[in-house]
Amino acid sequence: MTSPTSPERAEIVTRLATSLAELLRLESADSVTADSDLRKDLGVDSLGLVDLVTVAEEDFSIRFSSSTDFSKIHTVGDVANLIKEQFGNKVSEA
Amino acid sequence: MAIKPPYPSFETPETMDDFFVAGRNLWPDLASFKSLQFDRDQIPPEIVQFLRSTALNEHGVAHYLGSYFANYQSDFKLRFWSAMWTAEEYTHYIVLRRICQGMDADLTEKDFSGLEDGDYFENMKAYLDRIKVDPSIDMRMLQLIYGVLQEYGAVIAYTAAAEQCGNPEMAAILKRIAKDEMRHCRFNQVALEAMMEHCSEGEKSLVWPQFRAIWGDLEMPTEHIHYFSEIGATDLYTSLWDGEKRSKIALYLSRYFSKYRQYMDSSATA
Ligand SMILES: [Fe+2]
Ligand SMILES: [Fe+2]
Repeated sequence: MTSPTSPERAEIVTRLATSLAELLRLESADSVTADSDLRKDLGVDSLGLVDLVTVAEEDFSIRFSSSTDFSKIHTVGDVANLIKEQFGNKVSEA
Repeated sequence: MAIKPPYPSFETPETMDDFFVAGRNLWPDLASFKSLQFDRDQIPPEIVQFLRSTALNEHGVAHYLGSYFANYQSDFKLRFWSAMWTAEEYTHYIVLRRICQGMDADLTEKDFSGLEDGDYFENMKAYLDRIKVDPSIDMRMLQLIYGVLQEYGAVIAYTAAAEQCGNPEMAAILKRIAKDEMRHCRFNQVALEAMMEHCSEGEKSLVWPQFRAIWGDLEMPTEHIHYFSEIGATDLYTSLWDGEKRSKIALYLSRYFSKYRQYMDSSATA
């Protein structure tokens, strides 16, 4: 199911960049792009993963599917794709 | 075979007392486990190793009771829980040991070597001091946060072992253990929430950073169980967590602890 209110991927990337810059205390969100590698460029390790999950779920009011495999997520763009996929998946699936 | 782990709602209205009642009649069929028989050749070797090392780990939990008592100070309910809980983990040891015996892979005296040598009290204290995010944090809070993580890690490990063992009877037993672990996890949540009612805003703001600190440092206790270091038990335990299971742990714990992030904002603006 795709929600009609699902934002465009570019918008998701921009919003994610802002959140990540705040979370990672970066000077500016401008350096965060869809191609930014979470681990190599931004230093998001397994510790940062819990922050990323929380911020993404809160900011976009979504729930990642319980079968989400974050080990396959490498870039900010991958996260944006995942968020776009989960849009409309706001209901708790537990 | 995909087994859905027990995911209770965070909002179920249990009280701490409910857990004490629930603990009164566990594993009533324990005696029947004596006759368990498994064909060892049919069980994947990494599962055999997991069951043997986890049996030792469950046995080892009782050694930490003194530390729990110290950290729970004069809190009667938490002290009662730690006694009851270590006994439940010991029951898991008995169950797992019988599985090991049933597949002709029993633990030996050598496997237990080192268990009685260590100073669990000092080691636990040193560990908690190392991961403490604030020297003034209430040790009960730190211990309860640790408990949520530790027990949920156990839920996922036993669920994974149940999925991968290839034997329905063994899988059913491992799922029962996973269910106990989920109840243990839930107790720590309920007790943490009960504690929040008596905490200042400053104290509440420590929960999220303390969760992150423990999450970043999670490993098996290898300090006294030589067998663990021999087989690399941390890797063994976590090797059962593939990317999807690690993600499940991260998702579940982030969602549970995320409600405590709000206190950081309020303490920052206070
Ligand atoms: Fe256990
Ligand atoms: Fe447990």
